[in-house]
Amino acid sequence: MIGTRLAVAGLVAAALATGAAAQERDVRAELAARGAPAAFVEQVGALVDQTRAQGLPPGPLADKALEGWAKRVPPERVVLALEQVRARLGDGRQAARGAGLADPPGPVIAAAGEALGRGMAADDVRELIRTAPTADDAAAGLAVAASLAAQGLEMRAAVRAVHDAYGRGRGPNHLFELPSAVADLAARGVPMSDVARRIMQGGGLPLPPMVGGPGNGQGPPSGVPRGPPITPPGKATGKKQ
Amino acid sequence: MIGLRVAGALLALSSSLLSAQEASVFVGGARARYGDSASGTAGFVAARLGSASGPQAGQLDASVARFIDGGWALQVGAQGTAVWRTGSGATVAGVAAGAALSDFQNGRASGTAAVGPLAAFPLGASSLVVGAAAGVARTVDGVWNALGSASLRWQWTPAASVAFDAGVTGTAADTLRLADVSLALRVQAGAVRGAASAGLRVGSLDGPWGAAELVWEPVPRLAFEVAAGRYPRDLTGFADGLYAQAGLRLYPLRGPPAARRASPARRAPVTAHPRGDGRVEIRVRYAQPVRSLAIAGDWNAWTPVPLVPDGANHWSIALPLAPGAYKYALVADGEWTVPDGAATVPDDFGGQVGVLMVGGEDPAPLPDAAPSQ
Repeated sequence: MIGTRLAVAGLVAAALATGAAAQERDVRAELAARGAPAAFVEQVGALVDQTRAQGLPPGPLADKALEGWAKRVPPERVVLALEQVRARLGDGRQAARGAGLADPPGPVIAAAGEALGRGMAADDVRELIRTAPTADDAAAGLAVAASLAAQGLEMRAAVRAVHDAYGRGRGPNHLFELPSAVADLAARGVPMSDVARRIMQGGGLPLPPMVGGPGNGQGPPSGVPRGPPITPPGKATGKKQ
Repeated sequence: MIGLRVAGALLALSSSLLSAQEASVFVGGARARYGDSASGTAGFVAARLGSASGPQAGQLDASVARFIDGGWALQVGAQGTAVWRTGSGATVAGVAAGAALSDFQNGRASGTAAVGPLAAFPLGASSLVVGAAAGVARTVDGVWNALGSASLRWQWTPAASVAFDAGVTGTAADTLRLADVSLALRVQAGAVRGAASAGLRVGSLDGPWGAAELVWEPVPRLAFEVAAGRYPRDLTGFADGLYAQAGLRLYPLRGPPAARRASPARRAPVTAHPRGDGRVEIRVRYAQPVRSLAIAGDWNAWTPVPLVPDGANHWSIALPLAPGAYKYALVADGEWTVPDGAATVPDDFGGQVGVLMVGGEDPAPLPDAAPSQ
């Protein structure tokens, strides 16, 4: 079982680093093979090199360049996008360091930068990193929270869902199933507000039982009238008249 | 200071309810047999407003029942929480409030209202929730009493669709002293969800209680609900009883327009299904008529791979993807696009890319290779 968990963690790390996988590829060669102009190839290569020299993972830049070229985005616009990605990576590294990782792994930097770029508060990014059991969990958690937000969940609710999943000892394999659970509920027409509530309830914080009220075993559900008073009512409560 | 916080929490709950993100109407019938041998059959209409916004959640239920032999009953219940995460990891603390009101024809209104702190502590795959509340109770003979309660609950969620809840709650009001020991199970399978709870009340109003509920949502705006159970004598003076109810819940409003717009996953046009052989079946629902459809993403350096027609408006392909987060786009007749309703993020080029999450199949055999390019 432990081996399985480790295998999953390894695969997740690999998947999260899809961009990072690109860092191992020669982006210059790939762009050239796809017919990109030499000047653009060199511009991208230089940016990738600079990013690596800064200690940032260059994979996301390489991936963004390949995406832009595949979509036939004008080169100058691709370069602008690469600058944005690099800035996000810098922000991501700063957040990861703020969470106590002196030398954060590339996937964590990339995921933190992506999450910040999608509107996650820096405090939330740091907390998801700080409370994650492992670096792989941190990268997965950040990616999943950002994905849940992309699905329509309020960002804070998305962060809490991941946070609660951490608390229940769920690994990356389970984290990646959260968006499917959200999509399943949403596909059946459950509003995102209710989806958030159900996820939070699954996370261990349901609405508390009411004192003496209906539901939760302390009375009939809404609509079923309570029984007639024990006669006389006052005596049933033990109240001295 | 505490009073201000409580007032703030209640204000937040009130505003959440006022901007309810879910509203539903329940129409049904109930048969109840009470502990003193009286019984009744009633038809009723109930309404529910629910809201969850970040750390706040609230729900308001109201119902009017009409007995077939005459007479009516009105019931209103509200509950809500507002929580804050503490600085110590996943622990949360907050305020919970609840109130219930019952009113019968020719009778006096009775009810309870209480508010108090709660805290939740993660314990591995479970959570421990501790709470306390203080408030008032009005008995059916119009007497007001102070009440207080304390509860300890252990909640375990072994899977996303299954949850257990066990707890003990102690309550005191006037001369009454009672405790409820409870156990609850909640499961969900597709469009059906069920819940069951049982417990034992000991002390002043002793007796067993239990309830079971089944909800089926065949279509988005309609649910069939059936429930049955036994409830105990309560501290406002009502008798215990057995009940069964059934009815339809309609959702004429599924959240404000903003919330509906914020639900792009409603249609889930692109889904990933691990097959257990190291490959993931990607299914795409694409409504527009196209001659060819391909998918590309960050797993393969954005190289379009043709999808295969798989029924009306549906396309599919099996890809060697590990569990993880991916970005993708479709190429429809040569045009890059993302299907309507997909979860998307900006692509930094002024467009959008889809977000695809691939879950695992633990403990099934796992692929032993990283995503291929």
